[in-house]
Amino acid sequence: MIYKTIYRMIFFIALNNFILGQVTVTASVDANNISRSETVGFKIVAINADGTPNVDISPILKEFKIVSGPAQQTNIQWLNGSMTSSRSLSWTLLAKKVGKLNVPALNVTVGKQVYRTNPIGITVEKGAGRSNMANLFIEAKPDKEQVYPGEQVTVTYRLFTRLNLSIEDIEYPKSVGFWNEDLRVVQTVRFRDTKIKGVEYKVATLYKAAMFPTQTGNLVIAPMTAICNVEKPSRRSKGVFDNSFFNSMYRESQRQFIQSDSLDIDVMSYPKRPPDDFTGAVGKFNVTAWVDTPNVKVNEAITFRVKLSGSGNLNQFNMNMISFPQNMEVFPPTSSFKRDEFRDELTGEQNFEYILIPRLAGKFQLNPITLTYFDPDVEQFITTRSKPEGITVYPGDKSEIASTKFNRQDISMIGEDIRYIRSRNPSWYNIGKQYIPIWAWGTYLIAGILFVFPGMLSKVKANRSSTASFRQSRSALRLALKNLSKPADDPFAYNALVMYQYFQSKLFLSSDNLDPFILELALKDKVHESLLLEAVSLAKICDAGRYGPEAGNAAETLQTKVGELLKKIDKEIV
Amino acid sequence: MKRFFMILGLMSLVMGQSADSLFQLGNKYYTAEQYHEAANIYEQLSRRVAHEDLYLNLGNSYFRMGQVGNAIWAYEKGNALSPRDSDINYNLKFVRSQIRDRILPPDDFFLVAFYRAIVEKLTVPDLITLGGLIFMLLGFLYVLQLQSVFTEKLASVANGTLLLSIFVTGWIMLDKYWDVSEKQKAIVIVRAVDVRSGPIRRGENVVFQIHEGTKAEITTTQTGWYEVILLDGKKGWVPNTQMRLL
Repeated sequence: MIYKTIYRMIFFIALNNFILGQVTVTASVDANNISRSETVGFKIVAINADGTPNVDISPILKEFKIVSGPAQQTNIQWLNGSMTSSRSLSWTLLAKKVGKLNVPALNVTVGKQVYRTNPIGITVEKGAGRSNMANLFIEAKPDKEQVYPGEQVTVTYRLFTRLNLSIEDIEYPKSVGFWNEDLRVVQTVRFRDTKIKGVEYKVATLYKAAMFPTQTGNLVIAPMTAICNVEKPSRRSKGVFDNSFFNSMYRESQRQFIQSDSLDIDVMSYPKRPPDDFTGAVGKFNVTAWVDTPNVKVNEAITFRVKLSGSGNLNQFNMNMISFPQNMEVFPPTSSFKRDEFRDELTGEQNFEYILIPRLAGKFQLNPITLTYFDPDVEQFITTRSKPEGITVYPGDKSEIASTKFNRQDISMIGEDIRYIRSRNPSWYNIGKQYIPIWAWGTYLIAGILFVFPGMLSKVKANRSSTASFRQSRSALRLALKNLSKPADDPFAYNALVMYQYFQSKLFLSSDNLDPFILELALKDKVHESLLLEAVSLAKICDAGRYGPEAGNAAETLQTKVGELLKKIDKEIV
Repeated sequence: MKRFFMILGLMSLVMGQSADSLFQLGNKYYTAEQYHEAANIYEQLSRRVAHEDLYLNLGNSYFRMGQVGNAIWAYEKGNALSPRDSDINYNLKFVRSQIRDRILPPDDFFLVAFYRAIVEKLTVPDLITLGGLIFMLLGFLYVLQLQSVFTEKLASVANGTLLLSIFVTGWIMLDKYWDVSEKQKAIVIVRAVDVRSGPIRRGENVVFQIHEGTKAEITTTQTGWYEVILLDGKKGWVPNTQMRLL
């Protein structure tokens, strides 16, 4: 029994914990009925969530705009001993339109689980409108609601209030299908008093824009949004300090978002088919054109000015191409736009400045400049044209060129032309081969010669001297035999001289004083032993000469002997 | 058809004539202000032979026809053959002053600019000739040194100067050769070219636009496309039919 009770208790505690610990996700708003200018607080609370819930907020953005958020908050609560934690995310939303709106069911991810919130319905009333006499609203007022493409619609945004406020931020409208020109962007808001249906208001112009539709059809000018800090009435208890002085010290303010209505503009097609030269100009325009001087010399610069003035979609269309006379060089124009600030209609003038330089003398005419525009007041296409301008160009000299519009380098080229062709037949090159003059290769040749020449010279010299000795050596025998055949007074001395001369030439001996001993040294290893001995003995005989014991006999045969010996030796010495 | 026969006749005329007589024929057309015919003749001739005078005349014909891009192309060709030809340089400067794009290269250090100017004004044959002259001077110096004409100090200074000159000339020659043989350049020959971020013809990939007569270096080629880089470093792809290779 006691066990049964314990089991039951455990079961209930577990159930209790299970129920208490379960994650629940809810979505709520702080008001279900709001006016267009009011914001609504949207909150998603996840109870017993472990982590911060993750929400995909994108479905909301269809009908609401997020003004601020998400703000996170965590609460932990102990109740009867059990803990409850809640995590919340909150946003401030602004309704995009009037009517019954729906905050759809959103997917909230807590941990790995996905929960779905409950959808919430919100009724948005046009309460901010003037009819309800709201305390604070923005009025958007177009000057017309039916226009042609390119026609100006002036939209004025005015803030009406019965409260003390300061403007924190303004979001200017961005509309598709319009070219927007700011006419007035207010820097400091100045209020003045006014009365609407007997109710006193303070009113201030916040913004004025010129909108030019660029397409036909029903176009919507987006609303303008402002964030204001509105002073709240004091909630302090009445007492001694309840007077205006002290109240001013305890002012509380509340942020409020206000939005103007969006405007529907009907853009009609043009009543007729536009002419071919129509480039999109809509309004009232006037074109004038003039030259600074009608008489110039050739190559002198003329300034041609075109002024387009009027009101309409200036700066949003192109001028037609201007055709200038041939033989007149035209430099790209400079253009400037000057707007008349003091009018609501976009008014001003656009100036184009062309520099023309006539290249030939003669009389020229600058054609009128035309502009076809659509006048929405008379609903017709109108063409305005300037007067034609005549220019007389006299022949002139180049040196007089002067214009402050050009830089020095450009001027130096004016009045000049390319240089003329060459008519003489050139020496053609083969394609792809560069012509190198022969003398260029000659310089390399000369350089080579100069490097090699000195070395060659010394070699030739040496060679030449060696050749002379060799020749002498070869003709030594012939000379000796020739000399031997000549008669001599002293055959011994003469034969010795001939023999020594022979050996000197044959063996390239430098010494002039030969004797048998030197001869033996010179001939050693060059001739046979017997020949050597014979030569030495003959030399000795010659040296001994006539004073020798065998002088008489020897003198007769000496000549023959020397001749024979020399012949034999010559054969052996090569 | 008439035009076809005219071209055919012109072609047969061109094939059968000597370069000299063709050149004279082109000149006649030019003098008679028949620039189109003159340019045709010069173009045909430029496929057979080369000379700076031919390119000067061709450039003039194109200029008179209003084809600034082709005129610049012809003058550039002539300038490459004879960079110091004053007429070609003058006409090139004149025609360049009429093109729309003014591309300013980044300022170089003055020595680099000086070096570039020298390289631009010299051709490879000029450099070969210059090298030969310096070698010849060095040879004379060598001979004189053997004869002991100079003091040792003077001789070493002269030797050093000449060797340095040979080194510099050699370097310029290599640089020039690399510039002539490796770098491919081209001229825009149509009014305006859209330069794209890739070799694909698609509306949104136009990076910038260059106009007739602008010179660009080709870095890569693909079928039908050149990748070009301008002097100021801008890079992109252009169809190869809109540029003419130098």
